[in-house]
Amino acid sequence: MTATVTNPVSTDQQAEALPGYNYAFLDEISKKAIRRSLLKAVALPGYQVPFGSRELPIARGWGTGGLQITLALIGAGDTVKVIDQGEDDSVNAVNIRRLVERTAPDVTTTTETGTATIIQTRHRVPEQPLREDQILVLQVPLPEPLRLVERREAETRRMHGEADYSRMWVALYEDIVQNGRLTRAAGYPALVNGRHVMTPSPIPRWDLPQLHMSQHLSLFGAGREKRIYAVPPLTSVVPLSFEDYPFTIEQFGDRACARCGSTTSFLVAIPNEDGSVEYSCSDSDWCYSRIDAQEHGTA
Amino acid sequence: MAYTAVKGGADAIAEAEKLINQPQKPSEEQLVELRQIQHQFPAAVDKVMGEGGLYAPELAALAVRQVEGDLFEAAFMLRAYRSTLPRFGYSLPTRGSAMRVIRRISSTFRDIPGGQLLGRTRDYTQRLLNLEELTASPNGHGPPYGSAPAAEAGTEPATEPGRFPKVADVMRAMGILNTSTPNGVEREPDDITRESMRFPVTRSAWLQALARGESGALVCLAYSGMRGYGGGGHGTIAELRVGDLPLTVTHPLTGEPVTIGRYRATEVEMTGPEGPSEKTTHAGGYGLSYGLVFGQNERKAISMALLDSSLQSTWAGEGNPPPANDQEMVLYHTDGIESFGFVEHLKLPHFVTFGSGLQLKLEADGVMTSSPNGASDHAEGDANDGNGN
Amino acid sequence: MTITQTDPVNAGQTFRDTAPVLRVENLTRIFGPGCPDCVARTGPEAETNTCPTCGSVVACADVSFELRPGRTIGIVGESGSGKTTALRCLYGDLAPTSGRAYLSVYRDGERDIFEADPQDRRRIRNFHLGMVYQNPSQGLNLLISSGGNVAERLLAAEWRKVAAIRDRAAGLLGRMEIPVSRMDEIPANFSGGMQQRVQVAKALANGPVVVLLDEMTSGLDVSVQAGVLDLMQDIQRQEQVAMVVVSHDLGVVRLLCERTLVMKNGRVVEAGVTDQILEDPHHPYTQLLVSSVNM
Repeated sequence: MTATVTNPVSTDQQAEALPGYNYAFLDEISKKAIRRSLLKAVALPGYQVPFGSRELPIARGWGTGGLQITLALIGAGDTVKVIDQGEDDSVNAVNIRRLVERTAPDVTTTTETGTATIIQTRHRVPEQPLREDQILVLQVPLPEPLRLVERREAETRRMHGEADYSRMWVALYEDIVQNGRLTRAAGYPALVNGRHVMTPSPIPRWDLPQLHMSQHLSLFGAGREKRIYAVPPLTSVVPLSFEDYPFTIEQFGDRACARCGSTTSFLVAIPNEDGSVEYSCSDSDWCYSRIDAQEHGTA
Repeated sequence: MAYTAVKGGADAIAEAEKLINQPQKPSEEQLVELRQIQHQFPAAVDKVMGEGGLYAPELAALAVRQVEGDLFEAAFMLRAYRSTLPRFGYSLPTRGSAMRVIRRISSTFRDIPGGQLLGRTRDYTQRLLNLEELTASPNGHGPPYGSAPAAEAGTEPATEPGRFPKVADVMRAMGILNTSTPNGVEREPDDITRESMRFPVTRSAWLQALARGESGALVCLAYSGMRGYGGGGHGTIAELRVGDLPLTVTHPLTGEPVTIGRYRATEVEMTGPEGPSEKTTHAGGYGLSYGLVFGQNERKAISMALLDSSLQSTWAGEGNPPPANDQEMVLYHTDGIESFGFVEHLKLPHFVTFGSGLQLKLEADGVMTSSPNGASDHAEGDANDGNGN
Repeated sequence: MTITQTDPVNAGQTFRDTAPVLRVENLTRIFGPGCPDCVARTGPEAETNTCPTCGSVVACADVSFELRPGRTIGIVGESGSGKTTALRCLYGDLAPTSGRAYLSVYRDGERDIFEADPQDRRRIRNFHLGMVYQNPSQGLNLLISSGGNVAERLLAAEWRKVAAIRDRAAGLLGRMEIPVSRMDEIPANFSGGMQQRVQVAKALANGPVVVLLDEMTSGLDVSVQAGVLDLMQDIQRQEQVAMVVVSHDLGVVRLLCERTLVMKNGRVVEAGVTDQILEDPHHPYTQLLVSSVNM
């Protein structure tokens, strides 16, 4: 496996916008409506703001919520990074990045976490902590954390309105009664700003602490379910857990990334044909940066 | 190798696009003309326009051609294109009686004022494959279906608006229809494309959602209601009419209403005592439910009217309402673009979420040990401090 | 309309020194559009709950009473008399059409709980009230453990230590004679009597000031009823919890309640000390009710 230099993506398509289409695809009225929803979401951390979700040339369930946020925000001078499962080169991430490039030619795209102004992601938060001048846009398939205990939207909205989360807590209690521990893996529910229970999107538990009292703004978009919510900077994000059964993150023991040797990043398993398993970083920029530094002797 | 685990996604995607664009794609001269698609596959074009929520026959034909006949994809493309168009305003309300009718039938009465007009329908034909066409050359003996000019094929409205009174108006005049219009009168209709649905939704919102719904999904739920899974019962078609409706807007300068075009639509008014169950003003009154879809898509319009009926009725039985009576069930699951998108997103990689669960399982199996304090070597020393503020 | 006051003296004097934990004033609930005639044209004199003008159903109207700490009041009447509707309005399952209610623990009893915002209303329900429904499936999730059902109340009150929650739940369930060994079992596996006892354990979990009991023994066999009522008497003796007991069964009311309201067609027709009502009923309807059972 070779490490590649991951500087800004080629600019051959950036000459002009897609003929017949508006800048950044959406019409300006729609973008403004989305930005209004974003402002409301920031004002009410963790509250799911209903919005008039538009159809995009990417299918529903493939990141249209996050993409609408990104398209509504980008403009000249922005640098966009798109990842899926932590990887810039994942096909869906590439496809979304290409749409940004084709419709917003004055926006730069990058794979570097450090230089991006907007990072759109599916299922991961970059390992490298983000700064206050960066925005993380998370794609959300199912924005309603209470859906597991209540299938009716009218009822879950009432529950949020009244901060009536006891059924959610009972589900966690029952989990412990039945399994002896908390078994929720990805998308672990958290209380935002002491008020709204939120799903952080299906990021691993590993990533959840990165949202707590962070420097950066996190925006969550669910296109199919038509909800936008936000965790502003320096806002508490507390995983739902018990004093005697605390929240834990994934444990990798003494495993290390087979490519860069990292023992401090979220690892994904890569099975070999004989059933043995190798591990590698899921955050490709993290991994390649380390390899790069090792090769240049700056580690 | 895995489709994301290594770099090269951009290359893979480029190759996939090449495959779409090259081997099977017909050459310029082999391409079916858009006009041919409009004329020979009008049902596909109408379905795509209805579900795409955009009346644009030529664009719909383009979409059908571009996606090689995948009508889910075609409707989706039309909807996506619609997102790029600014919303300038709303047309004025139109009455079904303003339709230039090419077909209109009623199941409630043998004869109706204005008469039944069977028009162009496959309903009473025998669905036999015309095997002779297998051997006949495309341009040989016998005209291929639908290739005749539209007017001859009976698709051009020959009637003037107003020639056919609405059966519902006739029933109203007979005094057998509920005069109250429960749930029907609202200030301004909601627009679910600008505001997401908030339950319980108004009737205007569910009618809009159903009009954009996927035809097969509507048929499924309407059918479940007819078979006794709740629903508004069997219903009877007071009137089904197909034809061209005027599109009228307020002139921005004069403020006068002005008709700027016409569009083909199917309208169904469904009646039944078991329809809307609101308090009736006089005993035995019949309720009315409504379906209106772009183009000629009769099974969708009928299904829409059936679901309008079941959504108007309040479920009074034990337990949760059956699917067809449940607003959230019907409206959240009949949008084709949303449902197919989410179903097919399962093709996306999920190894992070899967891996997170796998680690839990390995920990539980004792393969890995879990410490409640989290990994001390995590990049962020206090990253596990989730309980603190 | 008149309310026969069997003991005007007691009403004013016996509990003068203690402030009521619950005060209900003119609680009214109308199902349907409602009209100015609704209350006037329904009730025991009209012998109907349905307004002839607009067809609305006046489930209960002008229900007023006070409840002192640790005391129990009964509401009796046939089905359709409005007693369950009144109870469900107090618990917050239904919004009243008009009327007021005050709880001593909510803003010193000076703010109408029906005017509380939804979040406060939820807290009142979770922290200060308990409810036992006639049908256990309304009060319990039959598919989560009985311990989990009790825990729901504790979790709502922000208990965040599993061991402490389990101790408290085990204590309450044991108190209601549910073996601790079965606390992780789902109530769907339990008998009707056991399910009702789990409901009581849940209702008592947060030490409420008032517990509302809606026909809690009506669905049970007579032999089982006796056991549940015995337990409720124990609870009355040992806990400082006031109760409102809704029942169509005069026997239940006589056993548990010092004071009783008699309701018919959505109105209170008689109110007073239970024993006096049973011995010397004033209102014709109460007389009929008492004479129809062999007490």
